[in-house]
Amino acid sequence: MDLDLQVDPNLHSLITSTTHKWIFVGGKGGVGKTTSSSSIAIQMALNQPEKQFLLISTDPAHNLSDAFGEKFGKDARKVTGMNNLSCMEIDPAAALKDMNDMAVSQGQGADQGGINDLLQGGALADLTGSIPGIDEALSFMEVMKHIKNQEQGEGETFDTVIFDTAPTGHTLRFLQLPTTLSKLLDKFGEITGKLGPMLNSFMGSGNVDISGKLNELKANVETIRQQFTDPDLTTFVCVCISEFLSLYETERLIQELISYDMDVNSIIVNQLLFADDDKEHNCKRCQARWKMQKKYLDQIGELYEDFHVVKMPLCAGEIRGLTNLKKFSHFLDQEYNPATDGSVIYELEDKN
Amino acid sequence: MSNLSEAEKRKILRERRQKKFANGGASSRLNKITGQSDSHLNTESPLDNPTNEPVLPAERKVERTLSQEDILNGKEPSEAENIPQVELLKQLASMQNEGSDSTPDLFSLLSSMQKNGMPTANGTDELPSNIPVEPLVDPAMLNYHNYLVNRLKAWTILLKWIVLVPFLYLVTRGESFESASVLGPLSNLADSTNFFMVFTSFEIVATSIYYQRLQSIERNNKVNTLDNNSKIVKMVSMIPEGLLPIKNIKGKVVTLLQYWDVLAMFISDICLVLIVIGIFQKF
Repeated sequence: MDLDLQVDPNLHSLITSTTHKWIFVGGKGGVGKTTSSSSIAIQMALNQPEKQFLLISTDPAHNLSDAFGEKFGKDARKVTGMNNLSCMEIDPAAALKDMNDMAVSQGQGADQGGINDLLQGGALADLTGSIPGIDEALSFMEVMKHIKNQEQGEGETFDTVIFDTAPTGHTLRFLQLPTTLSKLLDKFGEITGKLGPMLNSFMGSGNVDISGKLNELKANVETIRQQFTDPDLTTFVCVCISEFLSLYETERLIQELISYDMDVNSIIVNQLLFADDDKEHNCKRCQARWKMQKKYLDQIGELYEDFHVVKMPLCAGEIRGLTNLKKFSHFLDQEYNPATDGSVIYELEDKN
Repeated sequence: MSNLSEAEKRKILRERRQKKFANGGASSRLNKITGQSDSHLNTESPLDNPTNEPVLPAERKVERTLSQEDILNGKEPSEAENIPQVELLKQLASMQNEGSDSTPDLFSLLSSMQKNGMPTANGTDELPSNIPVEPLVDPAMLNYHNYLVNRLKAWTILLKWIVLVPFLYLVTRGESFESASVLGPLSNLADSTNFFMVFTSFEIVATSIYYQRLQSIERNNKVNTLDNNSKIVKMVSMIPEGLLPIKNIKGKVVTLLQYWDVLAMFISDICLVLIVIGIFQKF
């Protein structure tokens, strides 16, 4: 029985999962979140060619374009060389500018001057761009858009969406949003339940149905909240490096996620030196650092024995471009063995 | 080998993970991480501290006030019962519960609030602070006050005429007493050339005494005579503040009426003086 419950030190079960719709990849800044999320997305796309995958960057400091070596924008675009993987970078500034331009174009011909003049300079984008949490809100809108598309069968639909998230704080705010919105809308519902008829009588018999809109929004938010807390549909992959601060933040992140009732069962430990097995490039600094990494790896082993802890090597070169990512991502599906796979870390193409 | 499916395996593992974070386990895990590195970072876990559950500012506010259900069920926590917003919701709820399917309109809501009063934070029925407030006067007290004022007026008029009639007689028939020299120093008062000065001085003194006494009565009874009796003041107080370009129009009208009261007393006294002088001249 115990043998049966042993947890693989890889993400094979996730990569081959047919149920997951939302996969979040997050952790402290600079630990390799983009590389890890790109690798998961590539492996899933390679393992399930009949399905469509979307990798979304919700980090305001986007790295996806650099990781794949091609430009992605606010609309989903297929990765060159892969027909079932698309990428997009949510850009709050661009999205807000679009909204601003739309407002300006709608105002054209109606009332020249006044608010229209104000919006000409991108005032709406400037104003709303400075609102805290706008990145998370726009990411959330994107999620809602995808759910709507899937329900209505409109536009491009994706079987699984992988999020390359911003550092921990942003991500927690984003994940809190469905619960927060749900509570907020509940309170709104209570008020509009009583004041709704009065509000509607104030608004006249116009086309604005406040209660209807709120109920629709509430239903959408509730759907997202349910999906995010369903372990068969959503999971969170933590990324860290084998250092104290990263370990501490990972533990806190996991605890926060559990408090949100979100599933988290995988940890990717990046940038490991495996210096014991690398006799050829075994400098004193590498030995000292590897010793430190091992100390924290032991701790990780103790703390996360029921988690998929995936140990990823520090490569000699940058992991950029589809070819390099494919090579590197392989170790998510089949764990890295320093004795046999050591040569791969020196085989990466130099993109510079 | 057991026949656990992947889903069952995932579920068991999930439960095992959650168990490790439960019952203080989360904080001890953080303690373990920080302890081994001599760190002073916070080890309080969001899982071990249920009060850390994110609460919306709006939610906090609602918790402090009153829920709709509580309002409808008639539960009235003492802190919430004085909040005007809650009172508004109460009014709405009660109007909807009265059986009417139609939407309560704003005017009926406001008139209902006007009838019942809108409790303030102090629990007293008050109007907004920028509007002068008139305390309601007990009708019995108002009647008593009016009786005292009328009695004061009657006594004032009587005393005035007790003084004025002999004075007028002296002025009109002064020559008959001149030779008798019975008036002594008062003979100058009876001089017809000083009549107007003496009469005006007497009126000022008498009116001042009258108003002193009136104010004393108003203070004792806590009743403003003009505010409660004058129809003009009542009509003026119905004009909403800001409708006319005059500030505190009611206060100005009250002052005007007080001056008019003094002038009216003076004019009526002059009229009576003229009549009495006429009578004395005739006979």
